[in-house]
Amino acid sequence: MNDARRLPAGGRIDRGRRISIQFDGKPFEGFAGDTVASALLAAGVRLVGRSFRLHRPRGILSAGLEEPNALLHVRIGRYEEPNVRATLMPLRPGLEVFSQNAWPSLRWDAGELFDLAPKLWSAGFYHKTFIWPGWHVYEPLIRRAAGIGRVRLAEALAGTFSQRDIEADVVVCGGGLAGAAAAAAAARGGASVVLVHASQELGGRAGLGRELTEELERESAVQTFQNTVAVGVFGEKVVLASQHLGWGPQGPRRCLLRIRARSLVMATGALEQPLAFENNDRPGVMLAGAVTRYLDHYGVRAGRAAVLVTNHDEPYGALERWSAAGIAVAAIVDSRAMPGPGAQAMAAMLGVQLIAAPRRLVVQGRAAVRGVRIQDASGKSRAIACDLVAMSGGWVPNVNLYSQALGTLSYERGLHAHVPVASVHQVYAVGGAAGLWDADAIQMHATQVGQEAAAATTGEDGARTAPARVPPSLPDRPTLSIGPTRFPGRAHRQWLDFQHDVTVADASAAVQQGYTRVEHFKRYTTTGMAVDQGKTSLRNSLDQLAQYSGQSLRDLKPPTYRPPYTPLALGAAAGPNVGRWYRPERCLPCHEDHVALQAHFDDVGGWRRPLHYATAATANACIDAEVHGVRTAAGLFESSPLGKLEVTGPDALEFLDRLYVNNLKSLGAGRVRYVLMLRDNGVVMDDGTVTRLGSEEFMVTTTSGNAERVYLWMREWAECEWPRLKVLITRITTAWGTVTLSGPKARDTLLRAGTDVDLSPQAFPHMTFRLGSIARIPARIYRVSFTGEVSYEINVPADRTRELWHALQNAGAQDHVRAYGIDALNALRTEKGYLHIGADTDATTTPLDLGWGPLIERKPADFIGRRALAIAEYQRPERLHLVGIVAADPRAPLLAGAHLLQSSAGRSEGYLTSACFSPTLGYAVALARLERGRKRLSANLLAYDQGRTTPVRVVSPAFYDPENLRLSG
Amino acid sequence: MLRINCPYCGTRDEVEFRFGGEAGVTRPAGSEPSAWVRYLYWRRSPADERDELWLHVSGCCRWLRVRRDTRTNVILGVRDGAPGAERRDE
Repeated sequence: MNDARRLPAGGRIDRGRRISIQFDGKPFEGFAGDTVASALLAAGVRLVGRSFRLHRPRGILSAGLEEPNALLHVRIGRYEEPNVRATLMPLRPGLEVFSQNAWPSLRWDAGELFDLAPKLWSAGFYHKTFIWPGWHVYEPLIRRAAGIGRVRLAEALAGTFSQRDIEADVVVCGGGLAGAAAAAAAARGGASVVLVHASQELGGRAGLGRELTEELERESAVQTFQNTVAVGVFGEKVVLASQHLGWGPQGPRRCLLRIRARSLVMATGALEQPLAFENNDRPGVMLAGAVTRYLDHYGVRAGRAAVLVTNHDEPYGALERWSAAGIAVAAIVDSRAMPGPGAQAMAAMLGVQLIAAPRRLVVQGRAAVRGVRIQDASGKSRAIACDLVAMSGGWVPNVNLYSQALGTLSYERGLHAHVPVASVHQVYAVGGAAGLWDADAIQMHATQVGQEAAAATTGEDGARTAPARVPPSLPDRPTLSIGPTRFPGRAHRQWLDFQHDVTVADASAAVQQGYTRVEHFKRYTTTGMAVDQGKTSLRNSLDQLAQYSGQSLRDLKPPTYRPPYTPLALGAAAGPNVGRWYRPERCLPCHEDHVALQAHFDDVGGWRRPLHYATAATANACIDAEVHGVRTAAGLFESSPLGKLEVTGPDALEFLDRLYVNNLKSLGAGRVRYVLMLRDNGVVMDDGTVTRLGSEEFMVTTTSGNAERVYLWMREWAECEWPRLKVLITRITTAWGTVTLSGPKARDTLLRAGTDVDLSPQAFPHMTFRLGSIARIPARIYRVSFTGEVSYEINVPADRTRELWHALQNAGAQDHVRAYGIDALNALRTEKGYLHIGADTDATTTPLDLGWGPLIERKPADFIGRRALAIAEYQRPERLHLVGIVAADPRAPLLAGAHLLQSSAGRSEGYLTSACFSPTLGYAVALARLERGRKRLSANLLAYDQGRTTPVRVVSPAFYDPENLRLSG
Repeated sequence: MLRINCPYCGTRDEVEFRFGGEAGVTRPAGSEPSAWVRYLYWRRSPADERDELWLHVSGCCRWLRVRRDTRTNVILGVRDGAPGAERRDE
C-alpha cells in the first residue's frame, strides 16, 4: 500500500476497511472514512489538476468545501460527474477519479503553454487581446478552451434525484459546535428545528462533546440532515440544500431540499485564507489549517518538511503538533515585522528560524513544491528545502449564506475581514461565521442565539418581531493582529483566485483601468466568480483592490453574495420533473381516435395535437392529401383547445367593445365577428371571434395558445380598471369539445349525421351562429372558417366530443371525409392568406401594419391600444406590412425566415413569416412582412436564405379564392 | 420565496401568484404623448417600500395590492386590488 505519509495510528478513519480506487487509471488504496483528497495525500500525490485559464499545475489546497483546485471527474459504475471536490468525496469501492482540464496528460499538459504568456490572458483579455481582426476569429477556439470539466449527460442522469419541501421554526446551517448548540437550545425553547450539515458526522473545527451529541440524538424536535450542503438562500428564508442519500445501483441518490425557516441560524464557520506570494499556487502549497485537519482526521502527513507562511499568530499554535507527528518545520515566514511574543517564543522553543517581513518569497518546484527562496529583511537570500508550504492569511467568517439572507456586514479590524451585523429578518450568525473563535464563548453565544431564534418564531404565522441582531451578549471577537496579506514580489506570479487564475497583477491592472468599485472590479477580474464563489479569494482580492486604489478594506462593501453557495447538479435541480413528467400532458377529448388514425402528435401550446395522419409514405404526402381532402370533399379537425370564454352581464357589450379593435356595438344576435385584440401599447396580442348569443351574452374564442392569457387580461381590466362595469367572465375552454367540419361536402355530411338546424346558406350564412343538435347531441354551431371552405365549428359538451367525431366520420365516409391535422390546417390558412398570431405577427406588429387602418377609423369608440396607435413610430411609411409572396419560378420552394432584398447586395427589407408548398395551387406561397409592403404589390424582389436567393414577386396575401366564393357557399 | 397573505385564501407561497408590476400607474384620460409614454413605460422602481400588484392566479384569481420593501422583501400589508386599483405594467 502506497501510503508512506500515513501515520501508524490516529484519525477518524476505519483502519480495518481498506478501499481501492483509481486516479487517472492508477490504483490507490485508502481507508473507509477517507476522502479522495486524504487518500491521495497519503499516497504522496501532489499534482491533481490544471488551472482554468493558464493550465498551471495544481494540488490540494484545503480540506473542505472551499477547495478551488482539486476538482475531479468521478465515475462509479455507469454514473459520471465532473467537478467533484476531492476534499468532499468519500472513498467507496469501485470509485474512479480523473483529473480535468489537461491534455494529453496531467503531467504534460499542452495547455501549460498559456502560462508562458500570461499577459495575453490578463484580466479583461476578452476585450483587449483578441480585437484584431475581430473577436469572432478567436471566439470558437476560446470557447472550446473555456470551462472546466465535461458533462456526460446520460451518465450524469443515471443518478436518482428527488425533491422535498420542509418547514421548520428554526433552520440551522452548519452542524459544528455553534450550529449544534444553537439547534439544541432552539429545541429546548419549544421550536421545531432542522439542522443541515455537510458531512456524515456532526462537528466542525471543534468536536461537539458528548453531552451535546447525546442531547441532539435524544431531541425529537431536531431533524438532522447529514451529508447535506446548502446551495443558497432564496427570497425570504428559504434554504435550498442538496442531500446525498447514498448510492443506488445506478448512481447517487440525491434529494433537493427546500427548507422554509421562520428563523435562520447561520453556523457556516470561518474559512482560512491564503496569502499572496510568488508561485503560491504550486502543488504542495496548502492552507495551514488543512494540514492540521489531515493529521487529526485522517492520520495523514501532508508533507515531511514544511515551511509555514503566515501573517498572524494563530498557526504557530499547531507547529508543536506537526513536529510531533513527523512534519519537520523547516522555517516560518511571517509577513509582519514583529510577530507576537507568543509566536516568537514558540519558534524559539521549536528551534525554527523565523523570517519576519521578508523582501521576497518564491516557491520553487513546478509540479510539486521543492523549496522556497527567501530574501530576508536585510537583503540576504537563502533557499530552504521543503515539500510543503503551509500558509495562513487569517480566518474569515464564512458569511456567504448570511449575506444571501440579506444580513448586513461590517469590517472587523481584529479579523481584517467583514463580519455579520444585523438582518431585517430573523437571521442570525453564530460561531466562526459570527467571527468568534473560543469554544466556550461560541457555545454560550450560540445557546443564547438558539433561544432567541426559537422565541422569535412563537408569534403568529407571518407576524414579525423586532429585527434580529447579533445579541448584545456577543463575546469579544479575537484580535489576531493580521499582517499584510501579500508579500513583496512579482505581481503576475502571485495568485489571488486559484480557480479563475486571478493574480495581484490583474488586480493592479483593473484598478489602473478605473475599476475601483467592488462590483466592477469583481466582474473585470472575474475574481470570486468561479464555482467556489470566492471562498478562498475574495478577502485577499478586495485587500489588493484597497491597496492599489488607496482605500482601506474597511471602506469596501463586499460584493453581493448570490446562489449557488455550492455547486448543484442540474439533475438535482430538475428532480423527477424530466421528459414526460416535465409537466402534465394534456390530451384532446378524441385522443384515442387520433391514435387509431395513426396521428403523428406533437406538443402544441401545451396540448398533444395531431400534426398529420400517417396515410402515406412521407409527411408531405400525408399533408398534401389532407389539404386536397378539405378542398375537394371535407375534412374533420379537432379544435377543442380553442380558447373559449363566456362574457355576460349588462355591460358585457361595452366591455368587449373596449377590449377589441372591432366595432362590436353593431353586432347582432346570432352573428359572429373576427376580432383583433391589442395591448395598450398598440401591438397585436390575439385574434379570435366574438359571437353574440343574446343581448347580454357573448361567446368569445381566442387562439389556443393564448386562452389563459386572454382570460387573465380580461379579468385584470374588469377588476382593476373598470370595476364599475357589470360583467362576468367564465372560462369554458375545456368544458366544450370542438370539432370543425370544413369543405364543400361539409353541409351534406352534417345533414346525413342528422340535425335540427336549417343549414341552407340563406338560413345559416357565413359568420353566424345557431343553437341546435347534431346527431342528437346538443351543439353550438358557428359558421367560421380558417381554411377558406364552408366550415362548421361544432361545440358539444366535452364528454360527448367522441360521439360527435364518430357520427361525423360515419356520415362523411361516402364522401371520403377525412381527418386533417395542424400541418394541413397551416397550409390551408396560408393558401388563404389568413394570419396566425405569433407567426405572422410579433411584439411590434400593429393593426395598421395588417391593413386594419380603415376599419379602425370607422370605429367611433376608444379601445385598448387605440391611443398608442397615434404615435409617430406606428405611422411611419416604412413599417412592415403583411403581404403575400410567390416565387417567380413556380417550382422554387419558399422558406419562412428568408429575407427580402431588392438586389443580392441589398439590405433586408422584410422577411417571410409563413411559407408552404400549396398543393391546391401547385406552387409555393408565403406570407411576409415587408417595408411599405402594401404599396409594393407586384414588385420583384429576392428571397435570401442561407446563401441562396430566389426571385419572388409581391402579391396580395389571398392566394386562393380571393373573392371568397367558396367561403360563403 | 415570498409568502403572501391573501385576504381571501390565507397565507400562500409566491408560486401561486403572478407578479403584476408596480401599482399606482394610472391610465391617462387623454392621448397626450408624454403622458401616454409615462403610463406605458415609465416606472419608479424604488429601493424602498412600494405598492405592487399580484394576481392570485392559483387561488381566488383576484388582483391584490401588496406593500413590499424592495430592499428586504418584507411584506408590510396585503389588500384587495379592486375596486379602483390602478393599471399595472406588462
